[in-house]
Amino acid sequence: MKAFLRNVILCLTGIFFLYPIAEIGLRSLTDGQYARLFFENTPYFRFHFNSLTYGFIASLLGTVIALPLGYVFARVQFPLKKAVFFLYVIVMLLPFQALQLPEYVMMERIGILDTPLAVILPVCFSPLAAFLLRQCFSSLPEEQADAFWMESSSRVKFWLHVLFPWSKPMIITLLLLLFGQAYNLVEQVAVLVPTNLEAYPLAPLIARLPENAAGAGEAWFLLPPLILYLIFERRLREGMQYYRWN
Amino acid sequence: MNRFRKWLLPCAPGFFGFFFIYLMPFALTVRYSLLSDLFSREFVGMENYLKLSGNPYFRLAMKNVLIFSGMASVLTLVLSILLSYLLLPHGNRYVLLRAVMVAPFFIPSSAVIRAWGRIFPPAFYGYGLPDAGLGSYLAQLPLLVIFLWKNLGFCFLITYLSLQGIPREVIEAAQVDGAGRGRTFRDIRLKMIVSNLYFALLLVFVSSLSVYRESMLYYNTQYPPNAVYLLQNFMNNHFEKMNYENLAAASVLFVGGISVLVILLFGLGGREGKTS
Repeated sequence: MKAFLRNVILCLTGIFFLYPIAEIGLRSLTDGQYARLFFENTPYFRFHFNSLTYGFIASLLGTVIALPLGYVFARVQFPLKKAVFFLYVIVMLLPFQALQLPEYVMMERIGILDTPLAVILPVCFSPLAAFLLRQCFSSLPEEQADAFWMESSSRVKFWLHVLFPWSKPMIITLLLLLFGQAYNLVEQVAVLVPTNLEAYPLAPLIARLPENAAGAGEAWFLLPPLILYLIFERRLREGMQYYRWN
Repeated sequence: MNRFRKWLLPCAPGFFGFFFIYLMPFALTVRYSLLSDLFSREFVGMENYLKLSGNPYFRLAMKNVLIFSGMASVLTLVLSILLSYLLLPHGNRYVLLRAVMVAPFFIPSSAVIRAWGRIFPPAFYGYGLPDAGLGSYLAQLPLLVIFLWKNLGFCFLITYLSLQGIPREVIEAAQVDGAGRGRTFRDIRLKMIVSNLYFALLLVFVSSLSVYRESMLYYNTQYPPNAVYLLQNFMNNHFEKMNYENLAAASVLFVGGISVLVILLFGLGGREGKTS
């Protein structure tokens, strides 16, 4: 009886999470939606191409930039370390609206307002990436690190044979996380790319798809992150454990 | 120290970007909040803050954010703990369910907003409700459901993983002492991960602030019904109207609030570190 009740609850939970995705998927298959999307709505693919490009660039760059930061926060001593880390945590938790005005002013001054860089850069320097890598690197058992240093003194080999294998799930999670972040930017685009429609990604425009191709447009937009998620689902479950404080 | 100098070069892009994209803008915000406006740039001290606190829309937005985010984050955390309690003893039997639950966190919410719009017609939740009173808060329901859909799986997973990380010996010792399953869960497991739970609550609270995106797509306007007029709507509208001094003061207050929450987090982490 107890098991039955539990299964009912869990089943309903599953349906709740699956429903909107399934609904969009099924709707996209009705009355020639894909035909209309593929053959009549060509600007769609230009914007989708932008979304994909921003996603890939931001996730790759963001991870590469954050790797040394995570390491330094986790395993190297430096002055004011705690204060700097404190700043990272605060900024990591700020919503975009809190910084939109000066970010706008700043980007105008450097001359990247209205360009793809205005969308990509904030994701590239995501403090969350540095934070997560720090949590991951600092959980590496000391014995494992010491055992390596007994045999070798090569820093490069330490990264290749110890740190990368240890943080592989975290790095994969991070790549997908940043990809998803850049792929789903909406209000940021409206502020930081105010006039240049050429540089727009798809997410802020998706509400404007005509009703008779919307299902297909949304399903097609969902597909790349969904496929990535399904491929790496197990890795993500391991990587997500670093979303913790200690 | 010597080792840090070697790391300075690889870290430079990260620190540099963090400084220019995040820290500098914040310093500028603080400055703007003390000036009369961006054009005459007169120093007016706290005047903007006083003006802001008297602004009825600011008060409305603040109240709504506290109600929505408070409710959403506590509800998410409580549901995550309950689900963890249900699933924890069954280890890997419900892998598929976990995969389904976490998926919305990684896929773009903008793509499914219309599906939610068909369940909760915006025409009704937007303008079919009373303007004031408790009934008007029903307008927050669609956003709450969308928020849960997107974030519950994520919050559940980090709670679950952190509970799973507790060493088995600790739990077994308690059970030998005669504690039942409910008690071990409440008094031992949950207490051992207090700082992680608080961190999860903070993360969820912060993501509940970005429900603004879903609100924008769902209502498709900058001026949603009163009960879902959030602080982010207020800030965005003042940005568009170029009332920068108001926006800057609101941002500084916002960051101040978050900082207090983070200081609590650091305090909590420190205390727990000493006892364990």
